[in-house]
Amino acid sequence: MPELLISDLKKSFGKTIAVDGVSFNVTGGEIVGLLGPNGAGKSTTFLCAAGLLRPDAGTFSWDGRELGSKRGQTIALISETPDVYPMLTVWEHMVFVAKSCRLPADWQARANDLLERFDMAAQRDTLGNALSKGMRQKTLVAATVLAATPVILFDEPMVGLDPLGQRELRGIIRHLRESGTAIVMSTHMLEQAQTICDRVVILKSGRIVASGTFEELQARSGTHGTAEDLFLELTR
Amino acid sequence: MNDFVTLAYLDSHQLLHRVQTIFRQPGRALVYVLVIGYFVMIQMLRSHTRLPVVAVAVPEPFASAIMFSFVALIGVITYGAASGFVGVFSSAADARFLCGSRIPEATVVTWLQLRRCASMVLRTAFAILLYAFVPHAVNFASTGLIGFTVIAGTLFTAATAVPMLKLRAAVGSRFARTFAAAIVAAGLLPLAILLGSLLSPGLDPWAHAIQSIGAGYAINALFHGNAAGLTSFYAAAAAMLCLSFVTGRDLYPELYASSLRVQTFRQRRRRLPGFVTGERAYQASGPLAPSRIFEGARGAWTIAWKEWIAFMRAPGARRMFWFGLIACALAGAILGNVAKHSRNPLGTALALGVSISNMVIIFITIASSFGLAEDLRKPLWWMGPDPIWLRLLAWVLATSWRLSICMAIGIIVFAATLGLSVIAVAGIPIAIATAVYLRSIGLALYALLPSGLDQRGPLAMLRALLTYLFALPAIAASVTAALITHSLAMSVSAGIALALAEALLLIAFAAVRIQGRGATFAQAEAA
Repeated sequence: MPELLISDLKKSFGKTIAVDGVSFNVTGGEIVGLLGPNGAGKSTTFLCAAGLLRPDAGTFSWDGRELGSKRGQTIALISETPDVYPMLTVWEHMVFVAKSCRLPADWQARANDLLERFDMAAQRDTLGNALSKGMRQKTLVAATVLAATPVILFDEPMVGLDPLGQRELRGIIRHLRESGTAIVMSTHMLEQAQTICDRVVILKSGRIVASGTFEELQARSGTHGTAEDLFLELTR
Repeated sequence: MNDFVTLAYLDSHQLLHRVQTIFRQPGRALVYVLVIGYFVMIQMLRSHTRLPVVAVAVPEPFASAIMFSFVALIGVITYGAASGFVGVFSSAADARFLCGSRIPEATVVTWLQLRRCASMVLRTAFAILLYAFVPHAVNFASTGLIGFTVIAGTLFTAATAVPMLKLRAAVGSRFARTFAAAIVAAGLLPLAILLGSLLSPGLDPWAHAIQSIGAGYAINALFHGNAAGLTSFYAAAAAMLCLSFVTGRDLYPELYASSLRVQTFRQRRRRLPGFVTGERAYQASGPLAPSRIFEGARGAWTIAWKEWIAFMRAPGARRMFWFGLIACALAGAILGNVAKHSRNPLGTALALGVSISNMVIIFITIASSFGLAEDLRKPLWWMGPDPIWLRLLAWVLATSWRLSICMAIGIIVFAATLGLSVIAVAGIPIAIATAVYLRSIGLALYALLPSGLDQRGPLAMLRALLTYLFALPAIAASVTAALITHSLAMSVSAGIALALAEALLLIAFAAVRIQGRGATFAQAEAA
């Protein structure tokens, strides 16, 4: 399976070190949870990976090929406030992605299929500013899948979603995993992370303090309580 | 070419939906129809009067001063770009979708530059139209000639942003800022000498030397519609745009960061003009000691206290205030000097006063748009038993004092230069009342149509017209009082009293509209 490899990522803002030598990998068809307290460097890592923030040091590679400044074409970021164009309809987002990514002629059938699958067919002609947060997230995921972006970074995807929205998004993320997409997801919802993530990487003050499956981390730390107990123990 | 078609699809469809959204709301559509109708009506009326195209001849040293002001402006804009302050992405979505597309970065960056330049040129053209169509004796054709130059200047200035940002990325912000500061100095230094020569004859030899460079000649040639001059100016702007295409590579992170910075600035500016402060600037302001001024404020007046604290903790706002104060004082001194050395000082002073007032009104209506969403969506703002109109009044007073002081200082210096204290005595209360009156009209129109898009568009025109229209009763009251009492004090008092009464009525109107609809307004403001 192809693999996203982030190596020795460093980023400072003035004297504040946001990310300090972070390295981890995620393979296609895997979900890695990026956990950590506020200010740990999760969002900075994501912005650097998506090519929206210039790192001070570090490399990104996909399938053994180093990604340069155009890594935004390989790695898509879906932020906590899913940003869609307020004055474009859901379908127009699809059209723009298809045109700008020069997709083959059959893209319309695929786009329609995606909207059906994500239960968004009824919102096809709805403007971005009239969509709920869940719908905006689904629009972005559908656009990303349509563009065949192999890596998706979800920054706090569950925040602000109702229980049904959370369940739907979990289903979509699992579906993406099954289709071979490499997924990194940051969240403060530890139970969710335990349920959905194959592995977790825990950051604190810009550094990785632990990584592995929950079971491995529990065994290593000797903590046998909940995911929350484990997290608090590791980030204390 | 296909890539440009794709990018055109993105922007044309957004524009189409925006227009459709506006015309689905009759209230908003009506404003657009009214303003377009007004433009057509004035143009038809003026076409019957057949005003000749009179090219404006700007005398020295003002002509050279205009050119060096332009150089200084380019310097300021490039300094902003060198400091990472360029808003090319319209939103975070814009950045994410365009950075993730397969369209070559140079094409995207060029498109973003073209879009940004088009937006700035449109706004400038709208401002010129607004000025030309405001009902006073401005020759539209003459203004149009100057307009071509102003638009070329806007285009050139806007086009410098991306190359400057690239310079910053390539050689570091310190070098880029030094370079930009040198451009500012190259504009400001001659400008200071030219304007200084109006106040101090000792600077005349220097001023003449600067005038001999021919900058003033070039400005007059452009204002007279010199084809070669204008073509060269537009060609220079086009060359600068081409430079964006050449330099627009590996620049997405810088463009994203700078666009976010600009968006944050715009949000803050809409709330309070001059609040250009980022988090870093707040940190730089040192420990946040409680302010003793307005400490005794109670009830609705705590809003004034809150605004004062915000002002004191925003170095950008303070800088802007001091800059405004100095600019007004300088303008007062120069204009006072011009009037003093004219054949009829009092007549010239009055003519200058009317002309400057028009410019201030036009500038304020174009440059400032209202934003109360940040306050209205916070439950804290709605707490307390005081009525909403009182809170809005406190807000208007708390946000208009800076303009009042700047105008008052300009008037004092103007009066002192002329040696006519009566101008200061009458002008200071007028300046204070004018600032409150202008802010109240803006608030009332915000309460009518809070959308930011409308405020930057037709509402600016409507605001200018209403400013003149609502000023008529105050002027009438002032004239009537003067005729009856033959007293300047009574005349000024009557005018001010009526203007303030109107301001109160406008605030009351806004209160009725906003009462209980804070969330709706906050949402509509973003539309």
